[in-house]
Amino acid sequence: MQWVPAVLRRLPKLVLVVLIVSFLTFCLTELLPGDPVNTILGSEAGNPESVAALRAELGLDEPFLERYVDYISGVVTDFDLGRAYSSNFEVKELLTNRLPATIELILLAQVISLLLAIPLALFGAYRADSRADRAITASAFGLISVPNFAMAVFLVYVFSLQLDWFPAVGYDRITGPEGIGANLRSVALPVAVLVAGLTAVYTRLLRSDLIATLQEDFILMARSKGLPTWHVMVRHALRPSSFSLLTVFGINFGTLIGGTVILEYFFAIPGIGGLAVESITKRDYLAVQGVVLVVAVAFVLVNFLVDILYSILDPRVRRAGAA
Amino acid sequence: VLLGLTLIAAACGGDDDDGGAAPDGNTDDTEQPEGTPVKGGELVFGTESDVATLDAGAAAQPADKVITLGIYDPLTTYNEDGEIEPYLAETLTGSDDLQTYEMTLRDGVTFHDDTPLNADAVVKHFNRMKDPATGCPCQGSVSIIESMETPDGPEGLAVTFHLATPSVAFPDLLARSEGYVESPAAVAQHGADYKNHPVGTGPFELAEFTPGERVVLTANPDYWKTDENGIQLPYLDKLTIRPIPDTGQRLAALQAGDIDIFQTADSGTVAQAEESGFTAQKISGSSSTIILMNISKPPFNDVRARQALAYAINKDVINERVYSGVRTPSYSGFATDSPYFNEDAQTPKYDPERAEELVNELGGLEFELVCIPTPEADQILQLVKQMGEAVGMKITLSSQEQGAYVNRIFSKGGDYEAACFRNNHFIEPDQIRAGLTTDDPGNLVFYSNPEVDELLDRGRQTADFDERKEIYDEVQVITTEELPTITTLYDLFGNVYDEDIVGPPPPGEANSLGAIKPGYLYRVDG
Repeated sequence: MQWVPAVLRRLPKLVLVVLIVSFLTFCLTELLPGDPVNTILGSEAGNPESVAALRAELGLDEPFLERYVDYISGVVTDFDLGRAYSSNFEVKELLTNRLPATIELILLAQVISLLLAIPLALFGAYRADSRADRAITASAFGLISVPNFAMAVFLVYVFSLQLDWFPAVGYDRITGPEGIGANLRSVALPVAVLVAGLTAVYTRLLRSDLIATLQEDFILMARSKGLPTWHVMVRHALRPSSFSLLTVFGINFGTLIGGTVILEYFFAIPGIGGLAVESITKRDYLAVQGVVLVVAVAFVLVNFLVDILYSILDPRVRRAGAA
Repeated sequence: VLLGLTLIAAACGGDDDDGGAAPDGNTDDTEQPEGTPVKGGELVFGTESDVATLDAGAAAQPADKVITLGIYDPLTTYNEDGEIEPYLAETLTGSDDLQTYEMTLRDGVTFHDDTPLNADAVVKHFNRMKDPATGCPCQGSVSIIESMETPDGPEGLAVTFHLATPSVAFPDLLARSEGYVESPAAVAQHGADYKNHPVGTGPFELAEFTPGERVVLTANPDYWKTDENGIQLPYLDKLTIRPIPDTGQRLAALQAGDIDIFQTADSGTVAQAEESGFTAQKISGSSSTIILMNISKPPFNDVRARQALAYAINKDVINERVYSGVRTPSYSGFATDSPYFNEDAQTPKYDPERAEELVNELGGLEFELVCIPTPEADQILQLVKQMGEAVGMKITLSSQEQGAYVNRIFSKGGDYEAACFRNNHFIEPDQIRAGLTTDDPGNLVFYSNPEVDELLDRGRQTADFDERKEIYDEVQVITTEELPTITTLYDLFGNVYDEDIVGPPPPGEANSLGAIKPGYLYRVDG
């Protein structure tokens, strides 16, 4: 447990990052052109009295810093993210409603991609430049070049319209009446779109790092001891080769929360990305701030975990942290 | 010819059929194009957005309307001739000065929680809508009700409304979401959380509400209404509403059989669905895109400049290029099916020679046309620019983000020359008053004609249809000549379905683009 102090030292930095992000979001939504008052009032926006009354009601007439302090203290003390003006729902309620679908999409996509990428990369690196390896590399390259929405349209055409295996749109909760089967069927296509892109990236990353590691002396050493190939690959080569993969894997958790927006919209999945888009178009600042805050916290936490994993995987990181 | 077409359409529909549907159903359909509604079964309805609210009074989006018109009943409604009539109310009578309205409610109607519908429920409903704490966008419109009385007591069925100012449009207000009455017991029970537990008198009860995912409605077994054949409404046992934001995916979901009917405001999707063999109920005319011209300053203070622009625009080309040809060009401030639509007073049709003459007479016409940046607006404005420049105008296009745009249009004196806008065509004609009355804040083009002012004032002082028809016909004759605005095309809303599965949907609700009363939706095979 030598890595614990290094980790603890990072915590204040993380809190600071979240605070800065929340402040910048607050500024950004303030600077965005367009006024929620116009959006809410519509044609009534021409009436200065209605505008003034609504501004007072929303607290928009108070000074900017005062509003930020009010907001952040509410968040810290009661986890009170305010009330969305457009729908009159608590932002907290909106987020808890929308988070499960996004988390499910991301977790499934990440785990399945890793499960596919690791064996493919091991095989590719072991048989580097063989015909099979070239096929894996080429298809990975192809999959990376296909944009998500194009892949989505293609998969819907094949698996919903032609084969009728999966629904074209919609989301069924695990807790819904039809249980986990319907739930998995409903996320199959969007997860497949994500998996296609992620697996390709992970395979390429891990394969090239593995090839580099396989040139190292300790691998030659292990081989000359007569250890079986799978043992050399998995026990000796994989761990030192997994750093780029781990870094990208961690960052992806953050980017995917925003990156699923198009897929959530396309497949009508009630996730947090869709909430962000709806809220931005309605100038629903509090909802936007809530989403960004959640994304920032998730991003920071996941990367924090990745840092811990680094130090577990590689003793050098621990020592560097202690120095 | 029409019958022939129907038969062919039915034959094609039969080819697509997987053989599951009863052939008898198809034959019935061809003999009676209207079809005879059958009771039973369930449908899945794809809406264009997630439901924003299930609270009575606040429903505004087409997605909200499909659901709330299932859960609630409006106090009044429009019949097929565009005349208003009582619905949940049994009678509604206005006083001569139109400042007092007496209403009697239907007897024996209960809310889904068995609370009786009575005067008390109606009074509590409007008081709740007026309360700022409710946060209803309708707070302004219901503030016209100054006080209410219940002559037969709160348990009785009579309510008298005293209005703050005389209003001929009060019955119209009760046909909108303002007139959806909710159970006072449910409000008392759930308080601020009522929006998640809506209880009305409507044909359906709320069975499940999962935001972003689905709303499930089940038939209200004690619904008060039957159709003209005596069948108890609603026809369906169950209606599931699924929000599908992407319009192309709504069509894919219909093709895959995930849903049975969907709504869309996208004309391209309507055209595409028809090409794929589906049927589209096209509801047109409750709003349109228009061009505002600032009459308070040059160049549009000269009526010839306004006429020149009207003659220069070819609305059929806009329809073809931007809307796949499925929309209807508009030459009036009223919907064509409005009882107040004056067929003899239509704004200028495309006439490039006349436009060019006028531009030459004026010695050239140069102006800036401003709009909010949407792909649709960009396309339309580019076309308008081309058409204007073809007859010698010089048009500068400018795009401004909505907030800045609204500020420009609504600023004193109007900081614009020409601008795009969306105009609602309400059936109640008094709604055009603000836009045309001298010095009214809603008069964005600074139009002023004492004769029109006088006519519009007279139009709101009487409830007599014939008298009002004459008045608004006259207004249309004048405005057609003076052109305070140019309408371009009526917006179109489509409900797309497979006619082998879903019967023709009920007519669209007046004043609310595309909304239908889901109590009348039915499955062909029951």
